[in-house]
Amino acid sequence: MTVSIQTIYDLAIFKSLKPESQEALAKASLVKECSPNTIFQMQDERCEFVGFVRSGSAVIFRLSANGNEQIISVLTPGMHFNTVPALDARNNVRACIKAISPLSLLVIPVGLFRTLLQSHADIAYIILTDFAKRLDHLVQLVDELSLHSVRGRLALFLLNQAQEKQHSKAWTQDEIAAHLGTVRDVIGRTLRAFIKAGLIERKNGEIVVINQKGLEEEANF
Amino acid sequence: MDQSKKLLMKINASLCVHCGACSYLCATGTIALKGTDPTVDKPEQCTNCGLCEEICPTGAISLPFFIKLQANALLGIS
Ligand code: SF4
Ligand code: SF4
Repeated sequence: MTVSIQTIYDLAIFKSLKPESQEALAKASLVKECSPNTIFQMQDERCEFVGFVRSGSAVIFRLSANGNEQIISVLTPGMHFNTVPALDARNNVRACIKAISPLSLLVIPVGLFRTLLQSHADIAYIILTDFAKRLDHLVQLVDELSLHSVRGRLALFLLNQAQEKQHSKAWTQDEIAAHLGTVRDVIGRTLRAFIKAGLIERKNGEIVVINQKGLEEEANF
Repeated sequence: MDQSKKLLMKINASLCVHCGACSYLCATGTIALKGTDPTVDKPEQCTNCGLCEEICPTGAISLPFFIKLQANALLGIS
């Protein structure tokens, strides 16, 4: 399908580009439509294109050795994928992608994407800005992971709540995050780490402490 | 009484971006899409598995839970 300049302009990431850059993008791009449940990218395959979601949604997931899907994130309109593998030396994609609703993508073949970055400074600049945002996010993540303090505070909180004589209060992750002075994402990640370590279990609307000693060690960390 | 029976996930409509992931992944059919709006269709079928809360990209879903100690937790065995 031929791509109009309007299609490029409709994607927020490209709105501020010069008209000639939008025209070059339109020439290099294709529109790809996928029906729900279509897997249109398999992990470890060669990266063929960079994709920008126009409408619809998709899940990004990795397959474990035993074939289980581990969902990494959900792609929604305005989001994009494969900009990293399109530029790195390995050049293979890290995960599978499956449409979960009728999906419309703008795709740019890898070779043309690289040429566009070399020939149009404003396109290169917005991609670099996006990389900077992601790098900043990763640095924050490393910070959180290396600080450990939330982990310890959450372990203590779970122990205290579990030992309450009357544990009638039901908590949400948002409430715990507010209580411990952090954000919900960190609580969710830490709870998953505790489950993986066999310290707690989540079942039937309950978090059950199954290894009190282990959780106490986390609390004292 | 089983306290968990009282708990049900909540969807904060103002945070929802209508991606449909919660309804797609819910194995019990608890969440259905009305148009593009996720709605709790069959609350009695929810198993509190937590998948919808985990997958929602915007944190629009909250699933409350109780916190308790397992009887033999001191031994670290389940
Ligand atoms: S907690 Fe599980 S069963 Fe209940 S609505 Fe969410 S995904 Fe469905
Ligand atoms: S996963 Fe979250 S954002 Fe997506 S439809 Fe469900 S509630 Fe809305």
